[in-house]
Amino acid sequence: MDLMPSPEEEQIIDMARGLLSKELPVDYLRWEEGPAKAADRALLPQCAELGWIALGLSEEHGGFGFGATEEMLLFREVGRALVTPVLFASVIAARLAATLGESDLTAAIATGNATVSLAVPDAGGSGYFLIDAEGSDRILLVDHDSVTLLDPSAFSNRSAIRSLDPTVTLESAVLDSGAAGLQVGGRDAEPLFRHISLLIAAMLVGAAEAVRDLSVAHASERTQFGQKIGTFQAVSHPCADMAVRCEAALSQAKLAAVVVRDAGDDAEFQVTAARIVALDAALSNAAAAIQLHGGMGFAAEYPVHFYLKRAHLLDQVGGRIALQLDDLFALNA
Amino acid sequence: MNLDFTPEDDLFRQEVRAWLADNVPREVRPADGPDMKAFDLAWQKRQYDGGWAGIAWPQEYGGRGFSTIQQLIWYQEYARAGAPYVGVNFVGLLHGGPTLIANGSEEQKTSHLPRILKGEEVWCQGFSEPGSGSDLASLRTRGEIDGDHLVVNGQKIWTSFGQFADFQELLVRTDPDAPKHKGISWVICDMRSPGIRVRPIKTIAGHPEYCEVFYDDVRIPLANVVGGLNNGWRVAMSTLGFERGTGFMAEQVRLATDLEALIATVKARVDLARDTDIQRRLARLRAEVAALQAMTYSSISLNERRGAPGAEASILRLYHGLLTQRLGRMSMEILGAGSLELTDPEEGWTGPYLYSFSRTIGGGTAEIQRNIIAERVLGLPRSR
Repeated sequence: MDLMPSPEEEQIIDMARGLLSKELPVDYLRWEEGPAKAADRALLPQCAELGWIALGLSEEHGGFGFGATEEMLLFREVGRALVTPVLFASVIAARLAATLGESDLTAAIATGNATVSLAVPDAGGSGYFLIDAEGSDRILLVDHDSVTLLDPSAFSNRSAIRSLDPTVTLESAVLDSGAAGLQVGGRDAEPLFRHISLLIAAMLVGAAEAVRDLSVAHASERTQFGQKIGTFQAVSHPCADMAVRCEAALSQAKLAAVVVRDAGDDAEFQVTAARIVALDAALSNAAAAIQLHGGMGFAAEYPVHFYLKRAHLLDQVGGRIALQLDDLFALNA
Repeated sequence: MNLDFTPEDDLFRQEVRAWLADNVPREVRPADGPDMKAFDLAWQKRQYDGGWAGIAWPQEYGGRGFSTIQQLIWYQEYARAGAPYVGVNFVGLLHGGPTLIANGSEEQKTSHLPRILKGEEVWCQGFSEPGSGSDLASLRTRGEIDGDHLVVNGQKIWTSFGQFADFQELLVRTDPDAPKHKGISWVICDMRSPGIRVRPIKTIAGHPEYCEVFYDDVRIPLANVVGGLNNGWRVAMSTLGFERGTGFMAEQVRLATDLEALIATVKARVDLARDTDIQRRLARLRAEVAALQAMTYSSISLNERRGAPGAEASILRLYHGLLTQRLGRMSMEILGAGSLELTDPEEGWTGPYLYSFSRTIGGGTAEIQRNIIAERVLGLPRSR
């Protein structure tokens, strides 16, 4: 039993963190000309080349045969860097295509030749929201109990709307009746949903850690009343609470990753738990971080709010928090 | 990263499970008094005789010399078997003993460790004072050197099982002129020494565990100083590291068992079948209790690499304390009018609920744990 990353796992963390902090720094300038022009899209071919999309696929599917633990650790860094959800959608779509034996499509997605964007259903209505979908070759529709990979032509009435998360573009759209795609649902979809929840939990952990680090740095530099504000317990204690939430969320994400990799009986239980604690860590830490930054936290130029908004976006993918809680309650321990 | 237990660990688990199934006492643990002490010591002796005392303690002092992972397995199986609360053996087994192993002289180790494991010696803690709680280092109980003895005068409070104890881990000020952290010594105090008076304190949980202890010219041999004269602060921090970290492993496993019992109750209750509010809050607790177990695994993994608990023990302790309190409050809500009947602190729900308030006070308050996390985990500037 060892829940500390192995030297090989540490290498993946270092490689991802090194590349992303250099190429995709979390700075408002990255999205200043609109999310479609952000550096993310240009970096995706390099991510594909590094094997990030095919990381967890078996070698027979053109993958690298790494496990869910490596993918989880990679996506923690992806969450920290606020990489476009196109990367996440590509990883899930490649896995879906591989599961259904679509080897050409799997290869096209894994090499970055076919780009995949995410779509989520509008909980109240009949429409859908498309995320960073301009110019994508495929759309991955993630509902609460099914996942479908569609041609963009399956959607009509596409219209750009203002996005809560300013680091992505958002469109509303209608799904044409009779549109067919590659789909898994019901019990067949369970393994894919474990991956979806695991990677979402991982990205939320990265977000929770990023705002903790921004807050600690701010509290160590900012001076008021003649002292660093980190010396005030009204500031340092909320930072400590952020560290506690990060440790809980990271530990559970690591454990869930191991159980998913080893196909343990409690995989669904552990990934659902991971998703629940990670969402709380990301949202609570981001809210606390905005408060601790004072006026700076409310300014769009400062990056804390991006993490809050991304966490709300990720919550909508594959079943929002209330559904996750219902699922976890219903399971047997 | 892996969750694999070695074949030796699996074999160990089977042996533990089989032994506990045959040996866990079936009678209810008395909640108070000499009967409780006799019960706790008899259970401890039975574990020793069965070869299960001091799982991770060195063999030369009566322990088994196993790993922290095997210790975790023991606690998991212990909770699963519904074995009794550690009771009066808490201080000796979970922090006094480990402190002696890390800091004691050969003589101190050989005279106390085997007796603690055999259930022949009860220990209590003498750290806090009426004027020194969170600011522990301001303690004023004096230990003046007189020949080869210390002469102790002062008062301690929140001494667990003081009325039943044979020995005490006692912090005294041995150099009043030194800076406050540098004039403290950690000494072994014989609780039968002349000049000691013990007065039990009644708590909000009706719990008989804590006492006040008064010292009037109590003579303690200098040979009982652990880890060197005036070096007691460092020794005390190692004690608190054990208390905050591995000392609570058993209770973390227990928390999961309690929550699952509560969830099973709610699932069986027709009147709560549509209460999605309670169901979702229980689901959230379930996720967080799972995370607590994962944190324990992470912490053990780190300890295996590094050899001792670090400041992250405070994260575990704080999370566990807050979670226990939320579980307690939910249990009251679910019980309804049944919550009006008070149970013992280790039985049912209302007693543990009231006892849960101590979880963010004892062993360093939640506020002190947050100070430690802020300064020693996050590296924020010191707040005092």
